Amino acid sequence: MPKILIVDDDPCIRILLKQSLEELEDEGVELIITDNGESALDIIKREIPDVVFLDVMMPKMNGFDVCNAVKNDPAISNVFIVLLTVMSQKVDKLRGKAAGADIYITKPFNPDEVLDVTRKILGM
Amino acid sequence: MNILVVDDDEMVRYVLTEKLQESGFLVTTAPDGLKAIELFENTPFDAVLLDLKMPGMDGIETLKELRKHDPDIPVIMVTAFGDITTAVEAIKLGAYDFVEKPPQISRIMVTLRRAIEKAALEREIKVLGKSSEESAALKQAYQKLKELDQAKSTFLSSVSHELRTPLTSIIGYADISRKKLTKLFPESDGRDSKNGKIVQQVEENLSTIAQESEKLAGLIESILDLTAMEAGTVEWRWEPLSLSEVIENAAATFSAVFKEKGLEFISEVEGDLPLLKGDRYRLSQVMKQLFSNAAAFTEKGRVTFSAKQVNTDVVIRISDTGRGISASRHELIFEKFSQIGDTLTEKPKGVGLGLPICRLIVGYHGGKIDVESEQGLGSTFTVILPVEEAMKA
Ligand SMILES: Nc1ncnc2c1ncn2[C@@H]1O[C@H](COP(=O)(O)OP(=O)(O)OP(=O)(O)O)[C@@H](O)[C@H]1O
Ligand SMILES: [Mg+2]
Repeated sequence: MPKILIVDDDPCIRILLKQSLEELEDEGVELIITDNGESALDIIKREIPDVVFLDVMMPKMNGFDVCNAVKNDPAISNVFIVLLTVMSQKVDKLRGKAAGADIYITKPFNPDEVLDVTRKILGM
Repeated sequence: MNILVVDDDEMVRYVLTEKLQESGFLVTTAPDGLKAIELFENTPFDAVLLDLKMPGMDGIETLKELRKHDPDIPVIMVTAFGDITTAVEAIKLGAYDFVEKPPQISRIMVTLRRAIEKAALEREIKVLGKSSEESAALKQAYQKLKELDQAKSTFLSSVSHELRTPLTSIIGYADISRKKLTKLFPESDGRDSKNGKIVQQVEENLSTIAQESEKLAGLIESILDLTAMEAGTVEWRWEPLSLSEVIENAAATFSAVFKEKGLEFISEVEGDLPLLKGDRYRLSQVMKQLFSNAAAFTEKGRVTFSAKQVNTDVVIRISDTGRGISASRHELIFEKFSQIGDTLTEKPKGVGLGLPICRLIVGYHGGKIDVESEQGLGSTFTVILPVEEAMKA
């Protein structure tokens, strides 16, 4: 059963992502949600989700660091990471690339786009 | 202004000399580092354009030597694509900036002017710093100005960040709520009953919220675009592109808008335009802006667009039969936030950032944008883009 992890410290965005992806639950996808980078990394190691929607700016452990940790751990490096960023600036894109993110979605994003992208990644 | 161009490639030296002279610079060239240093010892230069990769003494070594002679000389490195690490090393050694090959003339001009200006300011400050006590205050004021400028940029980008996050929620929730509502009460259920009407109203309200927020997002995008372009922090993607494709694509997204307004929309684009080196996304931004203006300010008649090659330029024209612009305002409309018309009786349709952004983009491509128009008789916007045959990769 495919698993999707949603990581954002802003409850509004968390719920928005959840609602965007909710209809996948009917098709057997499990949604897991957390609000910080540290617990995200724990969950990724434990659950090995197929896709992670990862916010960049979070207290304690930011998205870049989580991404880095995932991509440098062979046990979980296959996990597909979608960075959610509000910054479309060069430096941040480069930082994200360096951290090994698979793709980006910039805020404001469109819920349909999130759903489409997810279906493509999961091959559904 | 006297510029020293150092490059082992004769073609590059030739092209840079031509273009720089056209812009009123004096140019001296050197084929290698040694010759450059020799020239440098005998002639005062205002700036140096220095190739990074040269046989014998390379750019880095030459840079070190040049700065031994004159630690304040602005040096701009010309690097091959993918040479970022070496370019960064050059900057650490005091180079002002770097431009990638094939060198884009417009980018070089902007960088050169900025470098020379900065060097002049620094020199002035040095002189002042020695001359009197007063200058301490000046220096402080300058420092303060620099900090303020930095603060402005930081402020703008953090504000935009703070605005975009709640906007994400507003757009997203409006969208999702409308979809959920439609799922619950499908349109096939009919909208005639009392409840049906309410459902329809709520759906429409939610669409309005989403649309208006999208507009706000667009505005934020424009402000960010403009400040980034002014600060020179935009990420440009230079690639060979077919201009007719860019124009036709932009036109395709607008044909419905013109149709809805009952305007004729006529294409006179020549099929065999030369390939051009440019940023596809940004050029299509220019076309879309010009189309959107034509649509916004034309009530009846037609909008015609054409593109053709004239010598070494591609000339694009967009003509409308709209309300036109009086001669005294032809330059004004390219300024930020300038809208014309009676602002008391007529609600502005945009914010007035469209044309200034167009002018910056076209300028970065080494081109020009201008308007010919008479009040009440329609307007023609002309974009001229150089093909820069010799600069092609
Ligand atoms: N084709 C046109 N016909 C008549 N007036 C025009 C035309 N194009 C531009 N203008 C005038 O120039 C002004 C500035 O245009 P510009 O595109 O910069 O801003 P805008 O369209 O008002 O806002 P936005 O930032 O949304 O593009 C417009 O407000 C309008 O008054
Ligand atoms: Mg406009």
